[in-house]
Formats: sequence, structure tokens, C-alpha cells
Amino acid sequence: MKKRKKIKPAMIATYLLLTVLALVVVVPFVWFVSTSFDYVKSYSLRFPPRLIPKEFSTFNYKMAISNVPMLKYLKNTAIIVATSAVLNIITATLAGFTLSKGNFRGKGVILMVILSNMMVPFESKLLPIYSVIRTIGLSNTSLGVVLPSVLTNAMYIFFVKTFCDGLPDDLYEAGRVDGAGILRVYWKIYFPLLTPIIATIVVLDAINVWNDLLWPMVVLTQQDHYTVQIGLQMYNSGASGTTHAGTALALSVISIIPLSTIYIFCQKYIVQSIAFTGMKQ
Amino acid sequence: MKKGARLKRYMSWYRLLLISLVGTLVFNFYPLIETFIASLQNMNGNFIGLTNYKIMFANGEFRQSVVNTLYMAVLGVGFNVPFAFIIASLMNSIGRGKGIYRVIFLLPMVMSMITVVTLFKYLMMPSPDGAFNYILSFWGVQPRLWLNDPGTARESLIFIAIWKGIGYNIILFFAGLQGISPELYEAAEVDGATPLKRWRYITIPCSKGTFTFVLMTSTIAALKRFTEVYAVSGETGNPAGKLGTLMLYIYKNSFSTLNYKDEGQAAAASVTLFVIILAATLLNNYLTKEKSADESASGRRRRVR
Repeated sequence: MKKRKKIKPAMIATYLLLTVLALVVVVPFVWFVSTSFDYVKSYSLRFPPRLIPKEFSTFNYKMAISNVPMLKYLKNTAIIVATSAVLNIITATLAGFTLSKGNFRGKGVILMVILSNMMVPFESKLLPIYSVIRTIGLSNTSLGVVLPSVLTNAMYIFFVKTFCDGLPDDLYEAGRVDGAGILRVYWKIYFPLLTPIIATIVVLDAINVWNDLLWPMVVLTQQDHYTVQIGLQMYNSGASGTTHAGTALALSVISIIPLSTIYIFCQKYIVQSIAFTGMKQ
Repeated sequence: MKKGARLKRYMSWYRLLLISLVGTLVFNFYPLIETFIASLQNMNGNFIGLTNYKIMFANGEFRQSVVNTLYMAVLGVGFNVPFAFIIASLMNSIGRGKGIYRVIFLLPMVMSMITVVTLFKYLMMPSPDGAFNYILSFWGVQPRLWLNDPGTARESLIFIAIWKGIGYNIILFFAGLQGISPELYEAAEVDGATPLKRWRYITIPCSKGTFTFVLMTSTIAALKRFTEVYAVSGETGNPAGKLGTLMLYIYKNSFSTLNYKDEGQAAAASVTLFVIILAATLLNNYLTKEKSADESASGRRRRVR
């Protein structure tokens, strides 16, 4: 394919248009971060709005840390994300591997039963799921937050199954001939080969779980167990007194630091993971 | 003997699926059936037929929440999906800098909906010193109330939701576009097809798979809209109930600590949501199937000619 060297006016227009659109995304973001470092002597924000603070100040952050137990919220959320990741890896790879390489009666039916999870939205079953979680004593625990989604993660199972379908069957036969049990074959031979799809699942799941509000808010009713998102929502809604705009922005900035850090380093990988979900349709 | 051995072999596979099957039973089948049953019962667990549904459909707040949900879904998906596709096409047509635009458009994904709403609540402050009103004042536009005005609340909310969510769809479309064989474009160029024609007769038909997926996921997500409206006005759905969605109605009637709640109503609304989502999925399936058969046929015909 030969690249055209001439710069056409249409090309310039395209770049211009894309840049304007990119600014629509970037400018609010920059305003958001920079205003969190801007000191204002009121509960509201500075007028007129400015993109660069005149004086760099960490006042809002001091307010945020001293008024809201943000570090505890960060810790709680990190534990939930990690629990979700580990359990998702175990359940998704085990079921995905079995549905791909397994040789047993009723495989099609079982696949349909598991995929039925994708057809019923989690949100339309909130109350009964919560009553199950409460009955088994998991309200206000990280496990209670992750368990219902981890045990119905049909999409991830489907990812693993599709990925596993592309791996050779000979490996399974070879392992069996050597006298290894099914679990051993799964763990020693296939599991290491599943690394790319496991990474995809972890990335997508971490973003979802970190940013989720509704279900964690249902399960976690005590402030000690709040996630970052619940903490933000509570502060913004003025549940703990008046909302200070600068503090609200600083809290929001703190809340996006972990994912932003991952985004900066694994940007390419995240893009691939998202693209992968679309390909599997 | 032989049968027993086979069964034993099957069992060694079945046990690996035990976790997922039990999970499906406990967290999908049971809650689904339980929701259906609860929607036919009163608070004391007595069977009352369709009374919950009758009460619900007569309830102005519920009807408004259905209207709001559908209106915002149509508006949101209607803008988000075509724009995402156009932006992805533009990104695909340039030579250098694709990566930078991709990074920027996906940036809002690291922010939660709560964070994004916080940000826009301040940008869209209803007073003249909000950033939006301030910028628009240069063009002589009168200050608006944005999220606080019943006339513009839903549209403002959709703007916020698109700002956050469009990057994801752009990435999906972009990935699909990169999979289209360059030879198709070259052949069309040789035949003298204009860029617009190439876009219409090659790019669009070749993206139909991605369209189906994006439409489906966007529609389902839009019908379950909760976090953004909750972040704007909590359980109230204000201004004037314009931000009350079906999901908010369900949440309120299930878990509210501030207002009166009714679990029968929540269950009936959950069933309604489930039916709406199912209907939307089937409609999506039907439409994209019809359209894609049609599109690819015409696309093929043009290319052959």
C-alpha cells in the first residue's frame, strides 16, 4: 500500500475536527485536575473559571484527607477489586476450560444454562440476591460484594472458552497419557497458556468493580466498609454536612489515581482488551 | 461396567462446573423466580394476583420513570453510537496520531460515573458563574439551569453520559475498522469511488458485526441507567422527577432508608425492566439481522459492479 504524500485539505479538516473533539474531552479533565489545586475562600468555585491555578495549593487535598477517611475507602476498594480478580480467574478459567476441552454428555445444555446469566440483568434481581447474601451472613463484607457477580460471570467464561477453543487438544491427550488427572492438566498445562485472556479479564473487571456504585452501596451499609465510590457519593450528596466544592474535586482526583496509573502504563493493553470483547460477538 | 466407567469420567468433568452451576442456580434462577413470585404478592407474602402491576401502572411516578428511561435510552444510544462510528471512521482515515486520539477519547473510562457527574455538576452550575454559562455568555446566551431545569435535565444528563461512554464505543468500532481488508478500498479507489462512497459501501457494511454488538450493549446499559441520575439528585429523581429512571424506582422501593418502600412494587418494576430489556434485545437482533442481510447484499452488488 502506497501512502499519499500530498496533504489534502480533507485531511487537514479531519485532523481539525478530531482535535476539537479531543479538546471537548481534555479541557474538562484538565479543569478538573487543576481546579482541585486551586485555593478558593468559599464553598463554591472561583469565578470566572480558570484552567491554571494562580497559586498552586494543596488546601483542598488537606481538607479531603482530614474530612473523609479516603485512605480507608481506597483500601476497602482495593481489597474488593483483588478478591474479585482472584475469584473470577478461578471460576472463569475452570468453567471455560471444561466447556472447551471437556468430553461429557450435556455440554451444550450446560453451556446454555451458564450463558443464561448474560440474558438476565443483575439489576433486575437486586432484592432476592441481597437477601441471599444477607442470609449467608455476607452483608458488609468484600466477599458479599463480589460473590454474586463472580459466580455468574458467564461473559468471562465465554471469553476463556473461546480462547481455549483455539488451543490444541493434543496437549490434553498428552497430559492424560502421562497419567495426569483433569485438574492437573488444567492447572499445569492449560492455565499458563490462558495468561493473555486472564489479563484481559482482570483489566476489564478491575475497571468495572472499581467504578461500581449500585451493588456495593446495597451490600455495604456501614461507613467502615464503604468503597471509594460510595464515599464520594456520600460526600457529594452532603450526607456529612455541607459539600465544599474544592474538597469534592480533590476527592474525585484521589479516586481516579489508581486507575489512571494503570491506564498510563497499560493503555495499549486496555484498548486491546476492549477490542477483544467486541471481536467475540 | 463400561457404563459405570463412562459415568465416572463424566463426573470428573461435571465437578469442575459445579461452582458455576451452583452460582447460576443461586444467583440467577432463584432470584429470577423469586422476583416473579414477589411481584404477585403483597408485603405479607399473600398472593394478590396482578394488583402490584395495577397499582404500579396507575402510579404517575412509575409511568414517568418508564418514559424517562426510554427517552434517555433513545437519545443516548441515538447520539452515542452514530457519533462513535463517525469518530472511529475519522480516526481510521488519518495517517499519524491515531494512538493519541485513542488515548484521549478513552480517558474518561478511568473516571467513575460519580466522578464525571461531580465534574459536570460544577461545570454546569445553574448560576451565571458556572463554566458552561460563562463560556456561552460570550455568545450572548442567557444562563441556563442545565441539570436543574426540568426542560433540559435529561438532555444535560445524556451529554454527560455520552462524554463518559463514547470512548469505549469508539475503540470497539475502531478495532472493527482496522480489520477491514485494505484491498477493498484500493479496488474501490481504482474504480473511482469517492471517499464518501467508499465509506458508505465498504466501511458501513463491513462494520455491521460491531454495530450489532455496540447497539446491544449500549441499549442494555441505557435501560439500566442508575448511577448518573443517583449522583445528580439521589433518590428523588428531581428536577420534577425528570431524572427518575426505572432502575432508580426499583432501588428506591427496595432499599430506600429515607422514603416509603414497597418490595412488591420493586419486584413488579424489576419484571417490567427485565421484559423491556428482553424486548429491546430481540428487536435489536431482528433489526440488525434484516438490515445486515440487506446491506451486505447491496454492498456486494456494488463492489461487483
